[in-house]
Amino acid sequence: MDYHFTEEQGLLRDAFAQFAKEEIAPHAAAWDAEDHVPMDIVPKLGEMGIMGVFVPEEYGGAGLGHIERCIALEEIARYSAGLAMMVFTHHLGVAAIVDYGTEEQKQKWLPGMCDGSCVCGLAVTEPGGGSDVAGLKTVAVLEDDTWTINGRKCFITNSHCAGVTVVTCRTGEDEKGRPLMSTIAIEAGTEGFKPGREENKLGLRGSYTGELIMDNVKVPAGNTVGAPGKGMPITMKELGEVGRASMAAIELGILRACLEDAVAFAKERVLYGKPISKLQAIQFQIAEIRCDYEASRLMLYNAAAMKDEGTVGAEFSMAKYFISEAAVRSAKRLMEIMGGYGFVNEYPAGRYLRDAAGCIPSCGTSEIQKMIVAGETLKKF
Amino acid sequence: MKAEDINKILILDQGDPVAGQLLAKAYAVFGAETEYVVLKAHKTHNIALRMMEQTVREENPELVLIGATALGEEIAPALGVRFRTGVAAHCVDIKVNDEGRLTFLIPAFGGRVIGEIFVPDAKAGHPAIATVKPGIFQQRISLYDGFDRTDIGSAPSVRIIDVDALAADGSIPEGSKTQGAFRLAEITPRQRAASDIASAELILCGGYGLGNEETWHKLEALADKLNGAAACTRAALDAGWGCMEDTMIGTSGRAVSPEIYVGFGISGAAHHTCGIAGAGRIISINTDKDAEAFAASDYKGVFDAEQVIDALLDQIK
Amino acid sequence: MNILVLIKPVPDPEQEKNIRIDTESGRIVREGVKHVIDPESRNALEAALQLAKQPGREPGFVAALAMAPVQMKDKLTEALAMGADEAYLLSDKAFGGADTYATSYTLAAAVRKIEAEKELQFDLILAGTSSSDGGTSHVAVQTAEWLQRTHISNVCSIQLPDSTAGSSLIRVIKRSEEVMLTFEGEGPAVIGVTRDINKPRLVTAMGIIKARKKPLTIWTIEDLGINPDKAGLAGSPTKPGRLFEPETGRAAEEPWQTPEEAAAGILEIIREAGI
Repeated sequence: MDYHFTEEQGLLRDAFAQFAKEEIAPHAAAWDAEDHVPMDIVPKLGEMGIMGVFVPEEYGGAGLGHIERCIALEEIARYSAGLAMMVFTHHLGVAAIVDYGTEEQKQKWLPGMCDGSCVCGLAVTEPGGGSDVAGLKTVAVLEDDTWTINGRKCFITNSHCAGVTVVTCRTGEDEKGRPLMSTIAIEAGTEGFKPGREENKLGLRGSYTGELIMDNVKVPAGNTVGAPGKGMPITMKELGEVGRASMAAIELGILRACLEDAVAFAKERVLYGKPISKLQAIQFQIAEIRCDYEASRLMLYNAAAMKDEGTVGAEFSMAKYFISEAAVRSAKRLMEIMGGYGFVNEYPAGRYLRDAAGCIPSCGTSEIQKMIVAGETLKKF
Repeated sequence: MKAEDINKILILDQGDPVAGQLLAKAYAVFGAETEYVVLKAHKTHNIALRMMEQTVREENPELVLIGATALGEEIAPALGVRFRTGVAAHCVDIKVNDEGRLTFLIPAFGGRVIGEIFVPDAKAGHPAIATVKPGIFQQRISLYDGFDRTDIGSAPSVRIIDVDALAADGSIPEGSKTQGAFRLAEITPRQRAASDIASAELILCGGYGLGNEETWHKLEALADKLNGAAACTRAALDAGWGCMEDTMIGTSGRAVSPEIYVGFGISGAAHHTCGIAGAGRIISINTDKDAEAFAASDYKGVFDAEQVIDALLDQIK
Repeated sequence: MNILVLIKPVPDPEQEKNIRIDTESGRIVREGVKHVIDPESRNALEAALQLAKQPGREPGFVAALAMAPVQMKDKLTEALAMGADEAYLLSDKAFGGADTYATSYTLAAAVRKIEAEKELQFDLILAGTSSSDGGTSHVAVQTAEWLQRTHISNVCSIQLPDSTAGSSLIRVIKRSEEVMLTFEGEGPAVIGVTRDINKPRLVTAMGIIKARKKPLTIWTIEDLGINPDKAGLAGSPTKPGRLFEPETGRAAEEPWQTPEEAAAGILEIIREAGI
């Protein structure tokens, strides 16, 4: 058991951190303020190997694992959680294709997804409910080797920029009348398929979150990702292992931003003739943030290591639940440490709080995570 | 090597004031019993290196002093290998310690640390070699127009070797148009700052704490109005505000000794204090009350640089 | 064009303010200080990669060479991840305490060994002109002297101006205080580059994967066949004495309460000095 990064992972983290400092940090506040989605950075993310970090080399990826993927997301989110949302959602769709796609699908889509020329998306949530996946209403009917898809998805990240979206559709029923789903890939520009309203979000700004409208969209049967009827387990697995892990990594990045900014501010801000870092009350706040960060880090990378070994269970649920709540409280602590400065938009504390809160409903709310963790705990202990 | 073993010191004159500074320092440390030889060689690398090598062989000095210019920085280490001896680079001081040993003081880690360097086995035939940046030693003996610093005491006896490779009109001699296997194809003058900081009596220096290009330009305008020179730190230069490289002060830049130096928004990393240690009076303005620059200043003001610059521009109207 | 790059692992210059001297031993405290590839070494490596892999030319190879403690091996891996084809680390207790004379002697011995093994001569050896820790600007020049090759430092541009096949003409611009000097010639030569010659590429995930398969060789003093009294502290004609933090001895008076008072005070000082 080794809690330290390997030499390679350390190198990778330094490279991604340097990239984030140069390309993301100078613009993150503006992207948030203007809700501007920085599409021009996507090819650079491709060059760095971030877009396809876990995709096998033969398809243009870097062939690394999920620890490395989480490292990338943590480093991006440390400066821009909004951009990290675009990248993680892209990874969700890519993972579905890598894990369940046919050779033909992989050859067709993965290279562009790795070099940054094609952003991917995954669409599950509907106006009728997100937590209630089984209740989704988007329908796909197969006839003559063609799917006809009708429905609406909402709160979909990358809605307005994805080149390929993997959409979870209801495609039938099993012998007990329970719904069967399939995950079907739809390329942007397919007739009848288009993004609808774009949400104006409180946080995680600088990423597209919007509606997807499927109005008699016709795609070939060859666009089914994985076996037809297996859409539910495919969706749950990717959301569970890639989605939750990503949210945990993004929240970890936000947490680290809170920690670093809290320390920097405390050392600079002078009150009563000395920096406030000398005051115990501030020191206790910083200690709490630090412990939250270290515990979070261990939970996330432990879960990622287990996924790379193939043994992960509810660890990502635990990590996502714990880290997202820790990030929200750390952001609030940062605002308290910064006093008035924590409340003006010139400083990022408010953005961290908004972003941290925004991660909680994604890939399963804290309540959903607790249900999953309770279920696993009651079986195991 | 003990200072008393030094009988002859060779100094390279590349045609700029540093040779006079080196001579003044050497004389102050070693006195009139030592012989001083100055090689006046053209500024082109190839000639100067060959002539220095030849002169060292002929003259057998125990100590060689070379200005740490772009040229000097290549000649000194090359001589170090050719004469199997040690080279102390970018000395901030040369002295004789309590045990009578020749001691060089050099900066490391950007000047944050100063270290003593000795060349124990130096002797005639394997001289100790040291380079010093122009401006580190402020006292200067003018080599060719007579001696203009009477506080040195009696004038040293100096023998000047004038390389006859120098063409009378200052043009580059044929033989120096190569650097080893490379042929000199072109010389283009560099864009230089309007006033040379080396001779300015008042220098206003801007650091990263200026914050933006506009404030840098205000500092330039202010320097102009006060008849001083504007200078910058490495951080300000790298920020891309349009500072000129030949006005950068620091261990990787230039050393200056103006009568008055005012630093704006400089954190005072020691490399900077190495560059201005010889200044008359140093004033520092920085918002960080713990800025290292303050320890090296005569006067300090914990204020925003831009505000003070604005106030100055306002008050001199 | 085959190029060797001298790489120097140094304490991170951005953490310069954390450098401390242990007052008892008088030595620099290196523990806990993160080390990086010296910035100018990175520029040298970037220049080598651009020159050796120029499109339209026969690709050459780039070797990275460093003399450092074995814990610095990851800096060589980083050089491979940036794109170098091979890396060599010279690591031995006997190399410790080396000044630039002994360091360059050791590096030159390694260059000769690599060239002998590969039966070629490097067209260029690139290095930073000056490192951020020692800052002597000696090593590139002295390595060239040991190898008896041309050296040019303070180079801000290196180009291959002749696009005819097989041409190895190199054009180099050197910056000195008053002029820019343009030199042309063919190798072999040792060139010290400056920070502004290029912007070094970032390591990418793909680079790190590819680095796994590239050779990283570690040599001891025995592998190089150098006499121990020519290496390390023993082989150094300069010997270090005490280290100390510079004294500045100035008063640091704080006479002004507002920016306006400071401005007035500064003007007063300037007037008094008669400027």
